[in-house]
Amino acid sequence: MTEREDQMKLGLITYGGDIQGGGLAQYAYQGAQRVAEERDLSLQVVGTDEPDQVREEIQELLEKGVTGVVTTSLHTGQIIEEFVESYPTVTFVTINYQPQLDSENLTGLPVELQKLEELEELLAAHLSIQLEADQRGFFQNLRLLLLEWNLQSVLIPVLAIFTALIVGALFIAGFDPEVWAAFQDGFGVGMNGAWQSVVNAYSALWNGSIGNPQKIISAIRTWMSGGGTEDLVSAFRPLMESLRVSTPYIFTGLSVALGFRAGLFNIGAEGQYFIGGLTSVFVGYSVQGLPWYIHLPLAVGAGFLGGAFWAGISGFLKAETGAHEVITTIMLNYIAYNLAEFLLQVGGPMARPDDPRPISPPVSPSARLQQFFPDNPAIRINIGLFLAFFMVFVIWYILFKTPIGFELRTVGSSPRAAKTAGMNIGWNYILAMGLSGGLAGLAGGHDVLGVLGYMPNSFRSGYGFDAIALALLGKSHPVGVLMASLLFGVLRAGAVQMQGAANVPVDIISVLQGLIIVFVAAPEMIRALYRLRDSGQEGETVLTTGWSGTE
Amino acid sequence: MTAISTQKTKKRNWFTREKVYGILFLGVGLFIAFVFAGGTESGLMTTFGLTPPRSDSLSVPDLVFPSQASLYVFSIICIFFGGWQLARGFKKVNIGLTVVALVFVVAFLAWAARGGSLNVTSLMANALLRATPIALAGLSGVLCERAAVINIAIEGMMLSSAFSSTVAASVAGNVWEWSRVFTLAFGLAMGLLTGALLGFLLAVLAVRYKVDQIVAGTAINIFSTGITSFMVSRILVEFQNLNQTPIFQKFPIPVLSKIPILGTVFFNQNLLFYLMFVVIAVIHIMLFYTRWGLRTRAVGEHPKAADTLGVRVYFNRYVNTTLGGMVAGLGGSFLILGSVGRFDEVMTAGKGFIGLAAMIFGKWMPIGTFGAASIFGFADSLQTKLAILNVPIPSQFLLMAPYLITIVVLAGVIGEATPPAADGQPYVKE
Repeated sequence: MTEREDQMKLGLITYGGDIQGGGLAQYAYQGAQRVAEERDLSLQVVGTDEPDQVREEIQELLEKGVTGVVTTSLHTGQIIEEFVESYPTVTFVTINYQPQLDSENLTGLPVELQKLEELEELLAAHLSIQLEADQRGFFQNLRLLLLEWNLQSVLIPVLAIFTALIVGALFIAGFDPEVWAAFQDGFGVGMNGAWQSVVNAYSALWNGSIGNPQKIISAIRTWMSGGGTEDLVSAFRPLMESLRVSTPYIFTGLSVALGFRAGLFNIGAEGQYFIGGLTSVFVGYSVQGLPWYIHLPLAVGAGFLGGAFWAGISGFLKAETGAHEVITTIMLNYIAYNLAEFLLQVGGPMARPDDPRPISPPVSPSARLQQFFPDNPAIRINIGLFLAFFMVFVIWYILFKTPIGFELRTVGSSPRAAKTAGMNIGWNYILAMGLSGGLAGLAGGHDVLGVLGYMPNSFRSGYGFDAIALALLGKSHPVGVLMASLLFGVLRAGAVQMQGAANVPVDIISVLQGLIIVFVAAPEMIRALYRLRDSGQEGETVLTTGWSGTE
Repeated sequence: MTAISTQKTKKRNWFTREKVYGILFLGVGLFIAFVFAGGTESGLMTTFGLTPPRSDSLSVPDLVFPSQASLYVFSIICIFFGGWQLARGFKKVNIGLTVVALVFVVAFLAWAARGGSLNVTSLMANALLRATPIALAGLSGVLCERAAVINIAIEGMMLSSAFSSTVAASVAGNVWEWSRVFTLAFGLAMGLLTGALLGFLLAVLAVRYKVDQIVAGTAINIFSTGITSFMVSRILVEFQNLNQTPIFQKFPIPVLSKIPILGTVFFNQNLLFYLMFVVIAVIHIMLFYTRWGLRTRAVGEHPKAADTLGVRVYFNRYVNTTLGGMVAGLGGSFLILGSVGRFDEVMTAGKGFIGLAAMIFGKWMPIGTFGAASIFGFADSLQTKLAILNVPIPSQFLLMAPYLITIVVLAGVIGEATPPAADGQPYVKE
């Protein structure tokens, strides 16, 4: 059986007996072989008679990244139990050995010696079901993912955020003129002023993003006692606004994370967001008279394509000439700003006619992403949020469950291996950048179709840099990015309140982001700071390459 | 990359890089003939002023020539080069490319100034002034990358340095009321110090913690943007006198500034401008004629070999990256003390990144980097001049020009330019 790089592998370990000898080994082999052919897996058979070797062979097999391991004897079955827990994503099957370990990914398959022929059928069916489940089960995989993330890889981002908030507090207090004034009245007064300054700022952050706890409780009381829902809606408004702010973060975070997975550093999400907004709004206002179920997908799709095209330029240039995407995407950002400025300037090609403001015409209602509370314009949360959740799933699926995703990840993690395996690296760069830009374009589409209803020429948002922090925090995993985006949505939504209520400029959030990136990218710092031991399992998730790309 | 591109050339034998250039040259020629010359009424004259008003240099008469006729001449030159390239091919395509690009620029100016006048000398003087921060950014990149540390944080370093220069010089001048010379020196020193500190931080992240260098650089960029904008809203808005510095005035060099044209372009600028040339010379000499330079290049190309021979790889990277940060800091200070005298949020506007493109275009050589930076500076200064000339191009498109050029340069040149072999890779001692 020839072996391809991109194939999933199945391993069979026989102890004693030949795969052509007519015994247990042969039927196990035939069963495994059938599954391998059906599912296009490559089968690796390890036959051994040496007890000492078994452990090494299994270890080697597992390191090669097999998806399923079958063992045929009591002896190998016992050894395999040592590996089951360290490889939660691998399906283990023992034949004629009842496992002592209670684990979901390990099953024992008893066979009567008189009916060995049945083994082939039994094994094939069992493996089919198991592997099927592996490929389908989103929630099962989610659980496995959480298992894989050992404590420290969760702890470090949390500590990074915590440390960044502490440093941020120092900045808030240190650059508050009122605190300076307080220190002139004495050290104690000064410290008290500093504490007040930080408490004011962070409680404004909390109230502006999660909501005022007292208000929420009293609103729930009113509602429970039969009052209207108005108080409830207004109490939860900050939280819903945070979710609304999170939505474009989810898109742009996924955008950068997808790039990272393919070894590309897309720092041009901002420009792609701009172009996505432009194309979405153009379809949104220029096409009239379509029902919403055609118009809305068209407008959203236009945003995706616009962003995809813009980033695709960088992907193409990287593939064809090796021009580094970091520079080209940044340059394309500036070009996008100027393009938008030109198109939307008063009297420009996309400007609202007879309006003194440089904004586009309003998006027609049939292309709007429906808001949840259309009567309350202050709450702008809309169905775009569900689209974002859906994209989390789609990107997860593409990355980890399809051959396309496998190629992208291989190109990202080792371009040399990808080249050896015959993958078209250039095409993968274009594809990855296209998808990545498309996601950023969706963020732009969300903001014009769901939030604003038109496109202003001052559309800058800082998503480009925020998205990098998101992808790093989420370890370039769609679910991680989702979590990080929710956090950032909270921070950003709260920061606006913080500026209003506590007079702390929103830019403090950028300071926090810079710090978070540094701490997450250099976990040693956090470990040193909090005296953590190195778990040695820190995964390499972010990969960027030098100037000439695929070297 | 090389393997892929050779495959491509094998597939389409005729359609080579040389042929593409030939067609490009022809296209440029036809473009000049039809768009520029065709859109010009005959009888108009173009005036290129050579002596700027209020200049120190000896005056030379202006260049006056018929617009349309000269455009046809330029067009013929380009078509000739294109034909020659297609038929015979230049030994070095770059010669043809340079000439055609130059002719195109001159033709563009002749067309833009048809029936009017354009002062070419002041355009060039302005171009070099605008090139200075870009060149300094590029030089910072050269220093770091020769030691194999990719410095994408130049933008952030410039921004932070510009900020600290502003505050330092404002405090010294407006609060402590120092004399102008000391104020400027203090502002410059604080700018350099800030750059050096951020350079050192990058080195710590890249060398000590082995953080992906591009990620570390991006973090520094985000942090710098955040902290400077934060301080502007928190402090500078309230205390306006902290955002007001004196600037380095023009300092004509005696005798040399009297030379026509060159005197104005090179010898009638401010002190920081001259300092840039000193920096270029020092970096060039240090890199290629001293032991330190040899070691740096060894560290950049093959750190393991260098280590085996007793070169302290980590130390070298620390020193180079810190120095690189300092040069970026000089670029940032120039934006304030050599130019406007006040700080605005995100005022670097991509100059750090354009500097990196200049570095690549200049093939990691100090002098080449300066040359590339002057092209960007030229595009930048042209864009301001064209606004007052007779050009039917929206200003936004002119503003895009430097960024477009950067992309074209990167895409067109990177294939020929080779970065230091170990660029971007952390070195792990064994």
